[in-house]
Amino acid sequence: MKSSQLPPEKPLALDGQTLLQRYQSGDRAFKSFTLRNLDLMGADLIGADFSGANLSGTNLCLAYLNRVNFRDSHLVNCQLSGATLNQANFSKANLRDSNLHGASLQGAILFGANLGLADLSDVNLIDADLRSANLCNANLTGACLRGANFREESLVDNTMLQGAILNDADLQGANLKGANLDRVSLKNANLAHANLNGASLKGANLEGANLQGSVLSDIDGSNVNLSHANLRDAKLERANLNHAELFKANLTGAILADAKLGYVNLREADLSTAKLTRADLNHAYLQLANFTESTLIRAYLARADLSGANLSRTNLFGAELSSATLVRVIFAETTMPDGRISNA
Amino acid sequence: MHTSLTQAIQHLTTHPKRDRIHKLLYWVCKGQWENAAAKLNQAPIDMLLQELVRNASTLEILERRIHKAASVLNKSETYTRIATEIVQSCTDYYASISTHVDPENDSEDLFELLTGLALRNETTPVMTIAVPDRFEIRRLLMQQMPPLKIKILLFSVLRHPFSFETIDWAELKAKTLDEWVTELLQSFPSIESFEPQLLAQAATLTTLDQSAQVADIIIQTLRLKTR
Repeated sequence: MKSSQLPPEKPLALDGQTLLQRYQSGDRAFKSFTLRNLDLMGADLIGADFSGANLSGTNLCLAYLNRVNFRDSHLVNCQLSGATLNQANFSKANLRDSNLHGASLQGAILFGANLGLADLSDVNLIDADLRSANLCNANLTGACLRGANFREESLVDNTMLQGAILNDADLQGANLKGANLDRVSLKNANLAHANLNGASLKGANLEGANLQGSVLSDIDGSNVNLSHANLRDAKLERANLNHAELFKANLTGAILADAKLGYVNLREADLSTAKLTRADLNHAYLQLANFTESTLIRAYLARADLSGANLSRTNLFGAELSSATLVRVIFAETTMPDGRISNA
Repeated sequence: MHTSLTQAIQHLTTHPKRDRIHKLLYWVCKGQWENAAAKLNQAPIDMLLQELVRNASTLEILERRIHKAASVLNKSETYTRIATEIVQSCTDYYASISTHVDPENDSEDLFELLTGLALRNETTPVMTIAVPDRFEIRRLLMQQMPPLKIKILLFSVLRHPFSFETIDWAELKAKTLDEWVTELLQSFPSIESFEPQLLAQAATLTTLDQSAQVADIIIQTLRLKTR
């Protein structure tokens, strides 16, 4: 019989006790083993190699699994709650519907891993590699993702976060460049200094989120909810924020040059010292907004409602303001579209 | 019992904020913060109020003690309003009794003796976590220990020893790590006051590996970030 005609090798199966005995005697290689539905709660298996293994349904709650190799392994519906998994390798592993609540995955490699529907609440994912991972409908509430990498790898191989819950998540400094965050819930999340350049945030909920100093240039944020968000000093050049909700948002010092802000709700928002050069604000709701010392050179404000807005020391040179509502607007040393200074 | 005091008790026991009134009275009289209903019920409002007026010979003394006690709590504004409510309810009682102030006895403050607050700086910081600190505390805790272990110990201190039964898992997961930390900080007036309970619970919680380390991490981190 030719080797190509040999029947496929049956994967080796082990029970929990044998596995632990072999590990204690120094064995670390459990590659492609079948280890399904075992109770390994609190087990010490640091540095073991489970690549390609089938561990679906196995209980590894509170286990010590630092630097374990789970590459290409099958961990569907696995219990990993509270496990120590720092620097573990989950490349292309299938963790769908698994429970990782309260686990520590600092510096873990989750490149291309399937984490759809997984419970990742209160998880430590600091410096984790989440490129090309599938996080659709995963629960990441309260997770710490500082320094995590979600960066777009290619047009077909992005990190998928559709439907994910990231409320209260800490993503400070995370790399989310080009990530698809459509309809993702990021309420009260910390995204300070995060890189979201070119990301898609259509219909996402970022109410109360901290985005101070973040990069949001070229994002597609139509219909995004940024009410009460802190966007101080954020970079939003060319961002598409048509129909976005920015009620009472803090945009002090933000850069919004060439941004699309049609029909945006910026009521009571603070835009003092913001740069809005050539921004399109047609039909925008700007009632009681604070534009003190902001730059609106050649901005398009057709049919915008500026009732009660503060335009003290605002530069409106070349701006289209003719059809805007200007009831009770505060003008003080304001540079008007024709270049004259108004104090009316 | 004096009629005015009976009326004060009646007013406080039927007050919409009776639970907070109860907790504040317990804190003033016992020098210990208590959330457990079972323990609070062992010292009902009428008993605590009688104890309080017995140890405060004038309305001014009572007012000073109760406001001082409220001021060191996390929700100090809320409890200051509760303190005012208690003081006001006792006004008629103090107006109706002839008071003799003994300046020597006035210095003996039960609350201060119980809590040691008299020895501390009057400006003891109240532990209200600001948003940036909330994320910072979380990061520091998570970097040292899997978050679940921290949650289990906090649950054990604030509720009962974690049993690993379904009902405890459900309650544990219902709150985030931040929320458990916040509850801890709101349940005790200072780190010193929860440190013994945290260490004692860690020593007895045999089901949680590294529990002593977990307790130490919580104490050290909160001490560092709530200064």
